[in-house]
Amino acid sequence: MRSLTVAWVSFAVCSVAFDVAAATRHPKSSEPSEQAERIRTYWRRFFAPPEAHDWQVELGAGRLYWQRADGERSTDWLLRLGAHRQLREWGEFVGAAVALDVSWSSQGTAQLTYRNTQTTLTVGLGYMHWHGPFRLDAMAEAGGLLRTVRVSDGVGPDRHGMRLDFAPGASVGAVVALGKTVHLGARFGMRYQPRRLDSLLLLEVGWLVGRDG
Amino acid sequence: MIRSFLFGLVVVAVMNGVACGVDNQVRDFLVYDVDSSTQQYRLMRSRIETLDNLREGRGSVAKLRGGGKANIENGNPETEQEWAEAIVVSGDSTPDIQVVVRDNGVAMPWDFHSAMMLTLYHHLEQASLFFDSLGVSPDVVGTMRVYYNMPITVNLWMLPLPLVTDNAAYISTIDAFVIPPQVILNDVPLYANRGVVVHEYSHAVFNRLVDADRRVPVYALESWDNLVVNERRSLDEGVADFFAAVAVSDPNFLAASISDAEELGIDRDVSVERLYDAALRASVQSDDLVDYDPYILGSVVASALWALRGSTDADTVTSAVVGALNRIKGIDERLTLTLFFDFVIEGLPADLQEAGCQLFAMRLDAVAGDLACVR
Repeated sequence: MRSLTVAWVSFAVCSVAFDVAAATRHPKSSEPSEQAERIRTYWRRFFAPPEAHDWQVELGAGRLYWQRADGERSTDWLLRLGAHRQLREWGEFVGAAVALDVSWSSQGTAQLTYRNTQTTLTVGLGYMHWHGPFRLDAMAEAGGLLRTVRVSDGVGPDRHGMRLDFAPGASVGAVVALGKTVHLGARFGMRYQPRRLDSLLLLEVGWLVGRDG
Repeated sequence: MIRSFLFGLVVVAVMNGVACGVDNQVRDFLVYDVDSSTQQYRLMRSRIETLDNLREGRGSVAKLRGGGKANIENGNPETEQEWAEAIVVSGDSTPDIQVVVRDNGVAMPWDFHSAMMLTLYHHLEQASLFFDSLGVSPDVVGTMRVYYNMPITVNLWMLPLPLVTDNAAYISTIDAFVIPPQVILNDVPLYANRGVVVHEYSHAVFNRLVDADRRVPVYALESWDNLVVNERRSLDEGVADFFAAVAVSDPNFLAASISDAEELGIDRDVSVERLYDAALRASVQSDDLVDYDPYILGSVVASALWALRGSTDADTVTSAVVGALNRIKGIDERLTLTLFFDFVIEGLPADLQEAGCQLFAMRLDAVAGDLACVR
């Protein structure tokens, strides 16, 4: 959790730094000053506006906060493979996303052990726009949640089970492009499972692929 | 493409709706129970008949609640009102037990806490059925609130500190079972130990039958002799251990949950011969409500009743014990341990009464002369 916090703070600092650069990049006067141009050139070495492209493919890792049967909350690790695509035919502010999430946990006592996995495949549709090297998105999502369980009691054979549920949700994310092909980002999402609301916090690294420009 | 995706979502949503509908119709569950042939806890297929709402853990036997805390707001209550408000429950919530239904129609809890809550409900239902078979109808206890994974806390400088963990309790003032988190022991959780659940259910039965359904025991409000209060509390613990041992056919039912009982100073095996001797009697007479350990004399009571099974069958003894509990109802300050055993002996078949008298006179050495059959 501390590493996530550090990452968020770093991201915020980067954002502020870029805002300074962005402000100087679009000065109110018609001719940028020499100093502003130096700052812009400096920051563009790190945060370059991406070129036109079809897909942004992302790998993410973070924490899933889910409500247990007794109402308390547990946190598990969560891995994500996802992709975003700007739907240019609908303008510059609409995008779609697809994400595959996997999380796992283990809990037990004595010889009884429950091992759970949650695999979610969702698609999303909503706001998505690049502001210079920054991309912001806010999407409504829906998909399927596959839950599997393996139980061992130390006496008999392991028992297995699985269950498929509908999992609507929403997420907001922010990424910054680095060097035109890589981007880093953070994401917060909520996922509604019948009667309970789980949340997730992710850090992502992504690649801009399929450039058509 | 988009049409296919939307169709897929509809299919998943419908499947989910079907699954939710199935939940409340399932009666066979995979619960953690004791295998009577090996006395080992393992996952077993078992029926739960009385659940009305599986996800919320609600049925005619119990209404489960999750999380929150039971805080001791008043550590020194005196009046009935103060006793009733001494422990305050807050922050609890409706459970969300989730299962996956397997091909053979058995519902398997999806996660550990779902499994433990379902197991707890199962054990409570079994306890209810056990007492029903002894003539104590489930209506006597009714639908009991059960607070699962709820720490019992006490305020220290405004901060609630956990006071009780790794336990299970029936608390009469809130008329509920409280299951604190298990954080130290790493054996079968106490709440998953069917013997322990029967023990706690027995306290609720004792409350209904002997304490006449009063939430605050009379001895907490009146100035009774230590002897009367302590024997009464030990009787409550003793019959609870006896019923638990009978229900799971294991005189040392606690061992599954507390493997290092000796190190912890816990000695509750009801098959061990124990005596109510002069030294114990002195402690029963002198210790006050706070200092007294009711389990020592309680184990004497339980072991004496358990030993009587050697002369007859378990049903005969348990029926006599329930009969005696019914007869001591409302006998407050005049209730003694020997009076209870007098009623047990009278509840036995005529040909067993002499054997019962001899056994109890030997085990209740310090008070044997007070037994009616000895006087």
